[in-house]
Amino acid sequence: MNAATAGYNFAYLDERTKRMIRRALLKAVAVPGCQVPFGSREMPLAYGWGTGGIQVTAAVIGAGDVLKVIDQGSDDTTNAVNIRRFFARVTGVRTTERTREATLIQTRHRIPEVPLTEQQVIVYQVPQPEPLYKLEPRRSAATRLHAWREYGVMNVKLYEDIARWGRIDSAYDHPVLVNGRYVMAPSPIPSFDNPKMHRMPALQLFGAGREKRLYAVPPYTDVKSLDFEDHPFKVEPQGHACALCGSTDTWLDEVLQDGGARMWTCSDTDFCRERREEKQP
Amino acid sequence: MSAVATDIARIPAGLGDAVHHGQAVFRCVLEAMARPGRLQRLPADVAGALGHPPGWSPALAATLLTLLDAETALWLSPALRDGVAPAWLRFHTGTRIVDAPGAADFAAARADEVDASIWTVLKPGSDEAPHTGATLLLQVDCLSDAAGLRLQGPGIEHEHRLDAAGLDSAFWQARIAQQADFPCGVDLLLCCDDRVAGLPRSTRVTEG
Repeated sequence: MNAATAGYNFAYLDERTKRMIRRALLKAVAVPGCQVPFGSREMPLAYGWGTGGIQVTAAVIGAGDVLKVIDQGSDDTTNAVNIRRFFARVTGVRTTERTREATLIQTRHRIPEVPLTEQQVIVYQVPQPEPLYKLEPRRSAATRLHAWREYGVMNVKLYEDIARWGRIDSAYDHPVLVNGRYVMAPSPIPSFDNPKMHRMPALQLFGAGREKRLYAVPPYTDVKSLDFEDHPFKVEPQGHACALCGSTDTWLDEVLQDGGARMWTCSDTDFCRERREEKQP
Repeated sequence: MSAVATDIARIPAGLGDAVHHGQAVFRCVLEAMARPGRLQRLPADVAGALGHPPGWSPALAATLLTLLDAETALWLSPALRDGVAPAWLRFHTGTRIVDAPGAADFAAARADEVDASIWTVLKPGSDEAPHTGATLLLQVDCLSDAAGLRLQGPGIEHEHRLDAAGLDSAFWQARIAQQADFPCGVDLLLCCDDRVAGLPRSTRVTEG
């Protein structure tokens, strides 16, 4: 603790707030995929910068944790750097960029390429936790639809996509059915990452600060991307290879270079580094 | 005045370190809920520094100290309500202790004090707000994950087993009957000495 952080509690939040979030998290784990309201606090970052994920991480993190923070797969983007520095200052925990070393991973919009283990917890930053929001913007009505397990409106949306475009038109935030009961927003991860949520050995926690909701997917829980029998969910291949490591089986970002040239590289920078090191012993 | 002073002097200590030990206990309970039937052990330094009323298991004491505060309502069974425990919990957490189990967010009892009816008297939550269902904490004399109930569902790769002493078949049949009400239901934490095992409402239980 330096002078700037003296007087702040470990992990920034006061203990009473942590207890409130912890009780909500336990209920979220007990009812997989169900959104649980919580008293989201004002954080030293604006809403939209991952305040939900930060509050969940703050309630979970301990002095022995090793924290990794990614934004769109990268450890070095503004959001990730700021959140990592925030927790390093207010907790003093060790941080890492290596997925395999981390015990706690906070993420914005990606799941690491390396399969996560039972010893890890992943926290997602969620802008809009309500998967039905664009179809039913009234919170009270959407809550009733979840209570009745009435997801017909979502099926109509997916059907209309197919009728109009010939395929389901969601490249990211593609809704999933958790444990056969709740339709859940996976946060804006690319559909490419959806299959990784299915029966993942790690505990998955989700926090939406502005919307004041959190939810969870316990380990080894069925997570099915919504689809139809005759239009099964599939990941559209990107048709490129990483310019740095040559990977064709990871999620790639298109990078615009000086002069207008385009380059495709792994979105998961740590995984890309690992691949390159394997190739150059 | 002197009576009050004596009472406070009689109250056992709580968590050795409210911040870091509370976090460690929460992670134990979170793991227990996330991996139903797996026994989670309190870290030795947490259990060692913990104060609790006589007869209470460290796991039960630490869990309540970690999760309760003025926003929660707690029901205590007659055996746990006896003696210094209510004053101890009020002093350390400020929780409200209620007389009716149906009004409680958390209910704590010894295994020999409950029967099948406990599943129906506690708050199950509602379909629209299942998170308002109660959490039941039972102190058992013996807890094993080698045999007993067969558990399946979220948090379980294939099958976990769980054997808790002192809970009879009627108790488990009432728990199994609750599964039809999902997402409503009561979540169970079993505490034995310094170990805790979770049985959230999402777990499908069959008798072994």
